[in-house]
Amino acid sequence: MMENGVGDIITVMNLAWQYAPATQATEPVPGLRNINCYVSRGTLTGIVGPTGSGKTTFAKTLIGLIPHCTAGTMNGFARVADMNVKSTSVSNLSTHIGYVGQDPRTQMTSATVHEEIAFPLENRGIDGEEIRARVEEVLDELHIGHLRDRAVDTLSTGEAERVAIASAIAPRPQVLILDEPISPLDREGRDDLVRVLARMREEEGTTVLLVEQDTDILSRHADAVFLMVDGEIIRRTTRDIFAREGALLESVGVIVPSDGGRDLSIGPATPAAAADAAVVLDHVRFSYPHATAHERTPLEDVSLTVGQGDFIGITGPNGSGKSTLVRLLNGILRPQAGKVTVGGADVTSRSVTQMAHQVAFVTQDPMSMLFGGTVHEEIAYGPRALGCDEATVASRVAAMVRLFDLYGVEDVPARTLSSGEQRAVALACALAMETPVLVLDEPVVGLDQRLKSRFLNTIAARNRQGTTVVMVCQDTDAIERYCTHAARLDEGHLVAYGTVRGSREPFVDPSSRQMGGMQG
Amino acid sequence: MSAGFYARGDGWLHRLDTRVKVFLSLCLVVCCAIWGNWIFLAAVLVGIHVAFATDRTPWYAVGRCWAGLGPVLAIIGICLLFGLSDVGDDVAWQVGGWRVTLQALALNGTVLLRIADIVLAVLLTLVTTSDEQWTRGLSALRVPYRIIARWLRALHEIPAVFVNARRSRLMLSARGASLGVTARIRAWVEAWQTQAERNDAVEQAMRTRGVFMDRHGARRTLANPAHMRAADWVTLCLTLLALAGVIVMMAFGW
Repeated sequence: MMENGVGDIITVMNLAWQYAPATQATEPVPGLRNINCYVSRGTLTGIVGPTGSGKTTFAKTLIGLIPHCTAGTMNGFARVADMNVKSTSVSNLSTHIGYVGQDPRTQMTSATVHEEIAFPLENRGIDGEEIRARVEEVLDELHIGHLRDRAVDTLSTGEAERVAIASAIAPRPQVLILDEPISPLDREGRDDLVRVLARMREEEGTTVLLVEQDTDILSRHADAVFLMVDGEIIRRTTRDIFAREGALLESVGVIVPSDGGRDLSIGPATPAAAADAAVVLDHVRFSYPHATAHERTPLEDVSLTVGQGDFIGITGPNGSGKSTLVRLLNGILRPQAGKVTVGGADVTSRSVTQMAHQVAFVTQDPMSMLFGGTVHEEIAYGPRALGCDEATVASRVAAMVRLFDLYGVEDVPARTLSSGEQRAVALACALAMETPVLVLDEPVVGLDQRLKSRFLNTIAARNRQGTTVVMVCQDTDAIERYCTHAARLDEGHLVAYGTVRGSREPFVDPSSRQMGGMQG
Repeated sequence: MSAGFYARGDGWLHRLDTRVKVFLSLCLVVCCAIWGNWIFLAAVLVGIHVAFATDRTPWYAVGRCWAGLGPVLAIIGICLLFGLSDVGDDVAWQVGGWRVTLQALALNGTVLLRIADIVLAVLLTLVTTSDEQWTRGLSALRVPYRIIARWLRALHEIPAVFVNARRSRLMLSARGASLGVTARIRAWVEAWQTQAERNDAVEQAMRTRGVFMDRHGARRTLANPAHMRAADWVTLCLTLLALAGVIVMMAFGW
């Protein structure tokens, strides 16, 4: 256990935080309980824990968003880079602290990428020439020079994450806090991030706090690891915890690093017969309206046939067109050329509402799927809109609440939940629709091991019952364990498609004994 | 963040210094508001479209301006035709007790031209000025960044809500809802709520990037500060000359 010392850049003592109640009828929600920790200068500290354990709350406390921009009650003491968090404004804390929050898209403050990276430098009053030089430097370092003049709202989530990281590191902060930056990044992006963090620690003495569900990088590079459960740090230790206390981590829902991260091996394609095809993309081309010369065509001449009952994983680098492709399947986007057929019907001839009877869709941003209702209302919305009777609606909602362990929040507005819980609700909404085709865009990002395995095992069970599943996923390990087929996109082109060898076993859900009955 | 009136481009209007562009728009608005000469008003309307065309402003942006403006002008025009039925004696059409005179038509045309000119003069700047250019131009005028940020947010607010509403409708449809009145109202409520949350998130992100940082008296800088090019000075001079000409014509009662 680390003790307080002169080299500590972060000191937290008896820190507690309670969120103000969402309504007058509810109670304050505990966020943090009695947190005590010290972080040494120049170290990389990982913060791990299950979904809803308070990791993001803790990160927000260190940058001052809690208590300065959030309603609630704070007790205890936190000091970061010789600044008292309680008595220093967020802007002044940011003098020495760089921060990347969980959802990079909502953090964009400027219209274009180079403006976004220059913004914190301009706020510091740095000379214009130096700002331009530093912007180019971080663009090169993160290999995102090609995004320089792109509008931020045209970026994919992975690209936006890289830009948010660039914006945070450009001012060369003493402390860098990154909240789940890894999962949206492709292999190259992860390697770039690791290299940049190592360089900053070595050359600038930067202290890094990495809040992550993906523990692979932490197991190799972290100097210290904090394990959080239920708002408390229950272990302050080193990266050895991943080898030494794997059982403990698994029991609380933390993903224990395996030999993941290896290249996905895609076998030869076995084209489905036309009669058996659930989804057919025939020479599909798509570009966003009013795109400029800076923006590449997201999909170019993509042809793909997904057989009924297949479980296909779609992978590829950030910005390769994965999300665009799956948005074509329920008619949210319409192709400029080519044809998309789902369940034998041409998608362009159907409305999105009509396609909802065929395709349930989960977007990358769960918040965009939620409409201000309680968890119960949100899950019931889809089946009810599809015309199910109330008894069926009730039984499906009950099954989903049980599956995702949402008992405690069933009557809570879904938009007030933590991002991991929101994702679980969004997934529950889609599963409750029980459509022949299920389309999932990065469904397990932000979920802990418990929820991830539970969700993927449920999808696999649905797939065995005949549901066709199309899943965009950066997690090659999950694709290998669950998918029958995989497709790889690169720069809008389909570069590989075929069977997955399936040499790995599905994840074991720690609570599978209790859940087994309903997963079937 | 980039949903708004701005349409990306690289023509002369897009490159024109924001201060000059705002001055140009302001001159047009004031002149059109004061001087009701229909030849002048018609010339301004043509001039604005020539400016858009020579700038190669994307066609959809100009079309969007007219899509919003056109119906409003039509409603005002119809209302005026009913309201001005007793103006003038040269009757063009008469249906029962309602008549349309040539004088009323001329007055109606002038009012509509004036409204179109004023709106398009404002849009001339809004459509061709990016957030970065607004920041540059207003910073050069020593406007505090806090006020610039509020101005930019105000510019984005309504267009962003429309974008959100469209997304919400799509998401509701994707969950099986048929888009009746209830679903549409729900989508608009959701759109405003999303925008409020987005504003909060952007505000927090700006703070975590030091927007209100104590700089101990030093000024906020810019990566690319405003700089008046020769073309900007020429445009400014031409604007001043045109303004002087209009004032002279107004003074002589033309």
